[in-house]
Amino acid sequence: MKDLAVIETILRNRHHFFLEIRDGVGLGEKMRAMMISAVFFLALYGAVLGSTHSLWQTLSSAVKLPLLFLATLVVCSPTLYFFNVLFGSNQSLTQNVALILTAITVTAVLLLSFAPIVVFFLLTTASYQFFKLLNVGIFATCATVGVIFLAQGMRIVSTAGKEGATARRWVLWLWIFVYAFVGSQMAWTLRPFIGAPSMEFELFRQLGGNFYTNIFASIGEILGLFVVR
Amino acid sequence: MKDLAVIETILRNRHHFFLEIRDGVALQEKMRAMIISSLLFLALYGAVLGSTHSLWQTLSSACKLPILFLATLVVCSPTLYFFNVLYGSNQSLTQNFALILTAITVTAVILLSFAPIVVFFLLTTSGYQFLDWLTQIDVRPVFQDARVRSFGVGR
Repeated sequence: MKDLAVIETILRNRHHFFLEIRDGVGLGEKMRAMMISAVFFLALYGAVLGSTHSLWQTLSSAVKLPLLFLATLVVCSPTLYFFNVLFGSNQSLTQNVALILTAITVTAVLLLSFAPIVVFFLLTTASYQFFKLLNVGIFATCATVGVIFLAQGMRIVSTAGKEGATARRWVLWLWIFVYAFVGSQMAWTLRPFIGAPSMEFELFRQLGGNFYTNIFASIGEILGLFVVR
Repeated sequence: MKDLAVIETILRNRHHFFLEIRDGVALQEKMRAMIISSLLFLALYGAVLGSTHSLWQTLSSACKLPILFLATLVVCSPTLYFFNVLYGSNQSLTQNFALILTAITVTAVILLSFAPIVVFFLLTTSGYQFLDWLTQIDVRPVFQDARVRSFGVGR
């Protein structure tokens, strides 16, 4: 329970929190607390997503959604670290991971705050495509707020090294682009999260296509232009 | 292992590192450390690139990627040296060589930092053209010194 209180600290007292990350105060405990709460929040939201389909889908989404975020973190953090060091940052890899974890935790708690709305639409609409696009919108919103949070944190943490500050800001935004790209590909790889009503439960789907064409196809179907399977 | 620590020095303390190159302090050890670490980093990245194809391609790319960079270095460094000397530089060929090696080492470590992303896309996409394009955009921004690649990098 104490670990979940970290989200209160992050949201209410972020400046102090980022300063502590900068000075390396209690980094281990912070990261553990953020990891536990992010996994917990994402598992809950994943369960809500999967609950449209079946019990198995609920369980599998509750496991896969935290996995999605943590795997993306592991894949992307070395790039951010080395580019930051190249442009004069004196942060360690652990500090970088802690900062990205902060962004993930914020994204996770925001997602959870949307859960009641998602449950409401889940109970009152039957359109799978609408539900999917609603969630894409929610994820995009929460992740955007999360990375803005990351940018704020990076600014506070790197105040010590003035050299290359502008370059590092650019690096961060380019990295965020890569992060979004890897994240959407990761989501496509780990799908289904919601589960198309017409299809059986599968842990992973072996279908072609990619994230972006699927989104456009869904928009097309909602607007009544054509029907996707 | 000690040789790999040179990358830490280059990235975090580059001003001091360049000053030492200027003054010719321990140039041999620096160059050895940079060659060893860039060879290792480039070999690893080459292995990742080749692993789409087969074991032999993996081994061959792991050998060829370091050769690509070192051969380009050998081909291009005399030009830089003689032009620098012509316009009044008092650097030695070794110092020039060490400077270009610094750029190569930085390129190598940045490439290696992209390796997890490349491996991930390798595992999750099957489009060869896409991977080809992705590795191209990886490389471009990290060439610090355009001179290093302006000659001899065949298609």
